[in-house]
Amino acid sequence: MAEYTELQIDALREVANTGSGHAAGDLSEMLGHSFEISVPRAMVTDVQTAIDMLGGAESEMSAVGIRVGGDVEAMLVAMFTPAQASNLCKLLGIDVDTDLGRSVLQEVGNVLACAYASVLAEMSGISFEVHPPDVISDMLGSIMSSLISATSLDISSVLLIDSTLGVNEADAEMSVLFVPFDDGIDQLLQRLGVA
Amino acid sequence: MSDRPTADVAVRIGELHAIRPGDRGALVAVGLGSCVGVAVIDQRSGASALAHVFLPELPEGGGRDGAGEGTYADRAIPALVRAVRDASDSGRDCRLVAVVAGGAKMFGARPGNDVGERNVAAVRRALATAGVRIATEDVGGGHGRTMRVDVDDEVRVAVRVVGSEPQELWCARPTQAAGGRLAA
Repeated sequence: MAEYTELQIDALREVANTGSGHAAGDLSEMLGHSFEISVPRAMVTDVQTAIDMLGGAESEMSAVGIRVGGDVEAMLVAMFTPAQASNLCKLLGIDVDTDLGRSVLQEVGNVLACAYASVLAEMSGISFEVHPPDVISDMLGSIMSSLISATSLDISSVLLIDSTLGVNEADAEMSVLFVPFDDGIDQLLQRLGVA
Repeated sequence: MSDRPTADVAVRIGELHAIRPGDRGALVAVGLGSCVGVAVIDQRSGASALAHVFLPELPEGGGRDGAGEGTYADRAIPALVRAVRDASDSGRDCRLVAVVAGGAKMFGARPGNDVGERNVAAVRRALATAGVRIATEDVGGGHGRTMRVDVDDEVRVAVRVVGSEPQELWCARPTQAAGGRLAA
């Protein structure tokens, strides 16, 4: 069912690269620390392998999930280990286990999603709306399987693009996942000029 | 499935496994979010099977060879019933009940398209079609679950959410379990 050419994967990776780049700039400004990004990794794999690669089904994670889009949609998810989430909040002198800590994570998710939405809009000419963020702490398996079941019906070839973004020296890094919804991916690729 | 497990058996997404009294391991489905764990248990022999259901049904035009037999609710339930019958001693009438857990609403759910809810509905429907009563269920909510089926002198089904202790959902002693452990 879902098969992608190298060119298409590259185009989506470029969205992630530019999106994470913009987000890193915005977050550096917001948090007063320099955010670095890794080169995004793109995979088409089955859902269980994706979970294993990201840390295993049982690992506890905090995740901020945001849906962007209208006609064409994608999910953006920032994932932190509990320690990373705590360290990120500490950059602002805030305890992660408070309402304020929670809203820091939400805001980080918002910044990410807005950066991706503007990059996607610029590259595709489609306008992308940013939905409110959901913050959850749960098992990686629950988080990922729910994410994939919502975006794709084909679990044996899941398209996943991830990068790391964060402040290295503070161990305040997060995984950023960019997961386009299956049912809009063809249109998105077309608008990106790689259909 | 004739290999007798000696350690816990991970029932990964889309998988389905069975155990019977005398097997030392438990069946464990880790990280059920919108996914649904369905245990079908033969109350006579204690043989049990657990599926990690991912989606309600096979998507239109999406016949997939790679997907495990536990992937889609509509196919997983008949497969569970078969697996439990196979794991029970032959010639014995099975008395099947089901325990269902999962189907949380986590992120990614779109209005009118909540996969967790649809999974639970599809599982209930398929169990009704197969004539298997649901003994108990722990579904919905916003948290992921890990589901564990232990088959020993008793069959025990427990569920755990992150940061809490396991909760026992169901427990019963098989009515014809004698000899199961010794025979192993």
